[in-house]
Amino acid sequence: MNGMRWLVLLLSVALHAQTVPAVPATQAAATVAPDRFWCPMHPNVRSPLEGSCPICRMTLVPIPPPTVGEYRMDVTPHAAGRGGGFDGLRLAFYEPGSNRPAPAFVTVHEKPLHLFIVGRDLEYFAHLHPEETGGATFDLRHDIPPGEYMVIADFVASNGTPQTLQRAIVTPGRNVSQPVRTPVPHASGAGAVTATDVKVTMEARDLAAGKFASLRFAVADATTGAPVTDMEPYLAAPAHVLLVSADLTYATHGHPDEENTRGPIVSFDLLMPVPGFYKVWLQVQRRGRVQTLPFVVQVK
Amino acid sequence: MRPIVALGFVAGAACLSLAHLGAHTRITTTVTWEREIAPIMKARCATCHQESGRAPMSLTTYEAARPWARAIRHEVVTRRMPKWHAARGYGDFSNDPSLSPFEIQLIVAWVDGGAPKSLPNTPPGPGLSPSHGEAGAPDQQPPPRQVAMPCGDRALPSGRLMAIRPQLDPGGSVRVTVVLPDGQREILGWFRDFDPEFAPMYTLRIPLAIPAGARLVSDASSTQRCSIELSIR
Repeated sequence: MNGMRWLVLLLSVALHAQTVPAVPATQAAATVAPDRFWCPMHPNVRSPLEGSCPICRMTLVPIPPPTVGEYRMDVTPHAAGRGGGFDGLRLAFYEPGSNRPAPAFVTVHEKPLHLFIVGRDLEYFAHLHPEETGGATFDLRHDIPPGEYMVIADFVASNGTPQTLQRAIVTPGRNVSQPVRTPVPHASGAGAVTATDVKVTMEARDLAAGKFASLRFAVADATTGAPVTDMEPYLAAPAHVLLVSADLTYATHGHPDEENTRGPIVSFDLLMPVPGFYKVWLQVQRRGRVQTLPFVVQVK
Repeated sequence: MRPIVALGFVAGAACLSLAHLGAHTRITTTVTWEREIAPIMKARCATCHQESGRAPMSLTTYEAARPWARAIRHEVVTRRMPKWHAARGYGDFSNDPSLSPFEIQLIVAWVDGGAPKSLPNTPPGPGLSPSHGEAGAPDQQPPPRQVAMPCGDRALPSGRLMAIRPQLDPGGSVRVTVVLPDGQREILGWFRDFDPEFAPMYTLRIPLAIPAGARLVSDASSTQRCSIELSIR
């Protein structure tokens, strides 16, 4: 799929910045023949060669090139709950520079749309998957308490590049802006956080503006301290991270370098654009439970 | 940053990039100028960065842009370029020229990987193409009226808010919010590092209906002069 090719390209983008690439970028590209044709009725049916669609037998046509620019996201709240806040959001997506609805989204990590909601206080965090309602619209049923939030949408449109869109919202019930809190980093960029049944220790290196930082997480059993080797895939990845700058203007969603590990180490290489504090949420699954672990790093 | 300082910085960075990206640079990326970078430069940079343009150097050709590769990387990663002083995610503006995170990743990969023009073994594939905005129907409506008000908590005239422009001291910042009569808040924008030489009207992608009783709350910091110019229809 073309969308997946962009993910491969994005992976190579991240990998080649490392000292020792796990997959050389040139090799990654050479092993993937580009899809140049698709079915006009079934855009997930793609091929590097001319042919016909196995579903409807229509002749495959050239894929239009992806466009420069960002898609647009409208965020409309559902009616406020009794205690204030929202009880959900409606999301609509549009092509870059136009009012045309975005094309179908590619299913990536089991979902067409990954939505993150992060509080202005850097405490509230949710990783959600709204229901697709057609026409590039999605519906989210989720209580959002009174406060100020950044809504972050991560997706790949079927003929587009990967997108990470952001929109700040204020939910009813809070009449003054929340103060901007400076998060407290763990000493020396390292720290341990305990969730339900895992204790995760972070080791952060190369925390310099403009560089790819290395974040390495060691997952241990919360009770025994033994390294965990029974992590389960969560959304088709060993782990997920969301990194946001303290002012919420920068966000990136990443997956570990280790493709199929069950623990105890997951590591990420993430671009740190400017100096300052960043909050990182690591998500892993063990024993059927998704566990979210927050960390803070400071970039010089 | 003042222009002369910026020029000095960019020139210095260009010298570094020339030294770094020498003739024998090892190419470790599949991202190429011809396929991915040139369309981005054309769409987002060439308005100013062209021969006889407003900016001090042209970025319209590979030969012209390559010496500036390191500087380009720095400017786009820090989002100092393309110039745009509305903080990302706060408000939604139709004239926002910002690069998407993926486009920034492409530029980083291109520079870090040796900034190739093209690759002989790169499989053919669709490159990026400029987006084409819809022209829309001819504007038959009367021109909007301009309203200026000092920062603070101010009553808003009713109508449709089309665009906004803060006026601040250099380097100042302001967060601007509309408080509707029912208490709901709509964040219009967070404008930072104000540059009086680059103070565009920020055009709302979706005009905001302003009912009677709505208020404009401008929460300025680090600035003495603060006013808000509104375009209302």
